[in-house]
Amino acid sequence: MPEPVLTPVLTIEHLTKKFGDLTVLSDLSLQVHEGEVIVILGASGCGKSTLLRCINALENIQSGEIRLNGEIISQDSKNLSRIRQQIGMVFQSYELFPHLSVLANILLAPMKVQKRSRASAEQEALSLLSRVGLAEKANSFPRQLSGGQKQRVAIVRALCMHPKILLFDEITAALDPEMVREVLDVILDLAEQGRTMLIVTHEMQFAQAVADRVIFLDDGNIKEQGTPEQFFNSPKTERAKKFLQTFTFKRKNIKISG
Amino acid sequence: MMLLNWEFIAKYLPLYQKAAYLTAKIGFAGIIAAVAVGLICAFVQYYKIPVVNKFVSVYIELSRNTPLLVQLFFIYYGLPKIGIKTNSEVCGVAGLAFLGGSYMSEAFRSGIEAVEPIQEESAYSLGLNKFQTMRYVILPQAFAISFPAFMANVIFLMKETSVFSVISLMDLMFTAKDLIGLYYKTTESLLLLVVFYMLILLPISALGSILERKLRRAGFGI
Repeated sequence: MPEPVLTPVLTIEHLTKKFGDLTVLSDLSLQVHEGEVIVILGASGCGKSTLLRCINALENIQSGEIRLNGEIISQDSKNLSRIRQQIGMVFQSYELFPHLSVLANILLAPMKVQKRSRASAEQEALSLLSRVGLAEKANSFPRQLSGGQKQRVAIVRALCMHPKILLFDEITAALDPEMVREVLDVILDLAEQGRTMLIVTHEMQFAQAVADRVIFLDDGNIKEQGTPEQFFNSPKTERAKKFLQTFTFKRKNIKISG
Repeated sequence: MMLLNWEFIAKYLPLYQKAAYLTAKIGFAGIIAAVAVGLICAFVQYYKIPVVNKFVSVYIELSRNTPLLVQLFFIYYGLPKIGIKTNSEVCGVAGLAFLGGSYMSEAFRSGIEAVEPIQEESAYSLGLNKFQTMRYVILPQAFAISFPAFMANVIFLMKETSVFSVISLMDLMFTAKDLIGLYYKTTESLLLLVVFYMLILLPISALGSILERKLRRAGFGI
């Protein structure tokens, strides 16, 4: 695995996020370097998705600071739209726009937000679509696609904005098992290209394969982090061990019938 | 067997034509105004614009819970009392706008609210601003969702024009009542009334059904 270059693209310092009285993230700090693939693991409700949503300013934060290439990300930023263009987000439920064709979904933001010409944006969209094996679906509507296809379109839509960092929020959680692979293969391909990515997932084997660094969230903070080898083979904390155990199955008692 | 006085019908047909034209004209003008009022109110409520928001809520309750007849009286007899000069036609349009605005607003609002908030977030995360998100992502979907309710409102408002006679507009209802009063030709007058209302409303209904099907086929979010 190539050594990541040590320039932080994203810096999170002392981030605290509350929903009313409930503290979801507390005093969390994290640096993401250029070309780094970080997988965020943790039990449901530990704040993984909230962390991604904060990075994209979809949530307001109570204290702390999030910076992308030095620029503060907050819901009050005047340049919110410009900052968000640099952050690609893919959701669990795809969130393609149902009234637009696949191509129109991909072209909307490059043309309306970045004011790029249709010709150049379309050329890029089509080449990205063929890269994920969906060239022939350019004129289909989202409802005509399978979940896996929709998710690949959503990834292309994010890529077409040339983001500095990509956020994937449990993007295979809503998929049928046989469609998970086609989506994860796309992400592996992106990792090969040296994209900076933050991935929330429950696919442990995939996490192990794709991650440069694994971050284990618990109680709203980073409980443990390290290389995938370290984390999966010799987790340091009890919480992490317990978490990893939930993915292995053993029968406790074998009933003898008869 | 009931015999119709065809001579009477032929004689007063042009009068009905004129009345139908007036009914349709004021009806459409009122409906367009109602759509404008409805859109504004729906946006105010969706974005929860402070203070204005409260006024809109009061307006919607007032408008939906009073009959058009009463609203027309207020506009027709009330406005001149506070120094606003007006005429029957303007009052008719204003009345329909006042009544229809709330119905349209509710139709549009329910359409906008039926679009999942995460669609909005998805648009924001692509860098679209509030206006672009509304224009390119939410409104097209909301329009398709609220279209059946919108069409029902159009037809409802067009029928409500039948109370215009109380502010002495020479609409279809006024003409029919007038002729019945003058000549006691109740059957013929009412028959013409029904026919002309149908002539206005059937095409609207048919157009609505066609558009509704088109919107669905175009792959809008329903």
